Amino acid sequence: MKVFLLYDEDGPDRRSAGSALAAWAEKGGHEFGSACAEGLGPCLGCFGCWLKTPGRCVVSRDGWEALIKSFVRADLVVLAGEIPYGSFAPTIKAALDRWLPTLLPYFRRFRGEMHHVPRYEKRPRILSVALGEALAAEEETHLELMRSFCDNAASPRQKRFFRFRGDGAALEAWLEEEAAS
Amino acid sequence: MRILLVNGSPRRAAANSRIVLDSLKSRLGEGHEYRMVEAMSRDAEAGDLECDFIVLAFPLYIDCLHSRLLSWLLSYEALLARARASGGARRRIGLIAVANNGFHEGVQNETALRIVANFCARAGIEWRGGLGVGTGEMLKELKGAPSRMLIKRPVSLALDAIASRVGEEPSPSGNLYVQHAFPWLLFKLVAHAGWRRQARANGLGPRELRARPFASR
Repeated sequence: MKVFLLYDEDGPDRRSAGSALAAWAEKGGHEFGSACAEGLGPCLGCFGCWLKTPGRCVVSRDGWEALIKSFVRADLVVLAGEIPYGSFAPTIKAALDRWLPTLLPYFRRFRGEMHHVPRYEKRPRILSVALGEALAAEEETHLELMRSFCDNAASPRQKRFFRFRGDGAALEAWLEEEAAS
Repeated sequence: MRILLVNGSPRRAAANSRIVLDSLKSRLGEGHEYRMVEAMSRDAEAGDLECDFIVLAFPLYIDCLHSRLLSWLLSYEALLARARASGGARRRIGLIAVANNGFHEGVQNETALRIVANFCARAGIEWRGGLGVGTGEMLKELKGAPSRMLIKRPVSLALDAIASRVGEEPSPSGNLYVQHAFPWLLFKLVAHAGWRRQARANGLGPRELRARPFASR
């Protein structure tokens, strides 16, 4: 299995979470890679990735192409960052906004709602690891957001909110729990 | 009242969110002082704090807010906290939000509106509730149509309801969800035809539209 970690910015807790995830991947014989979302520009909202250069962002010189390849080819994508207001960190959100080309513009009914048709057959499981502090309402919102995002990505839904507090064993237990569900 | 209109769409002046803001402004009428902010262009500035009410409109972007709008909210919260700490900002600011999405169901905006409500709780802003509009692309198509037109009427009524929450008096803070009175299947077929037409204008056929440039080899 290919495991890909996308984190919001550099910092000791990010490195600690990365090390714990890499250790879990190594133990399971998985291939592991990671990237920082900093430096990616925002989505322009131009729909060029659907209508001009299908599957490719029209702006690709800022590291987007390497990131999207990692995303598309992974079996498990782990997002790690702060969750302001229950959302994603702005750097991670910029990367996710530009994940749009992995979908087709076409619609279908999926899990009872209208969603886009995935561009690729292979779709990774996507999990979010929260870092920093948040209010209970924000944690609840974030899990709801992850469920909506997983529906949009046609991936299995994340089941439980998880905050990384430096405990690698807790991270491993949660990953196993999610993978088994 | 001093009303700050915040456009949270990267499409800026061409956005459906701008249509929403213009229609809310016309409902609120004259007698207010309006200022438009493009949240995509910059972070919040001191002048943005000089308001009694914020009217925020944005498109649903991968299930929540566009990254730049999120940054704008974070910068607004920080500025407001600093200004209040020095006694230099209004204590009471209200906010309504209208999210629109390109899917059919207005309720798909629910989580995005919860994120805005969480921002209000953090920033000490009065959350007066939100409106989630589905079939958002139809806002542009029906811009000039009368409000009472059958297809447009549910959205027009919901905009009336959310606009009525702008004011000094306390108002309900629950969310409203709506879409144009247009059947699900027909909406899908019309949208698909529109995508194909736009692709054709760029010299792309249906097969090219489904390209998979990064498929695993």
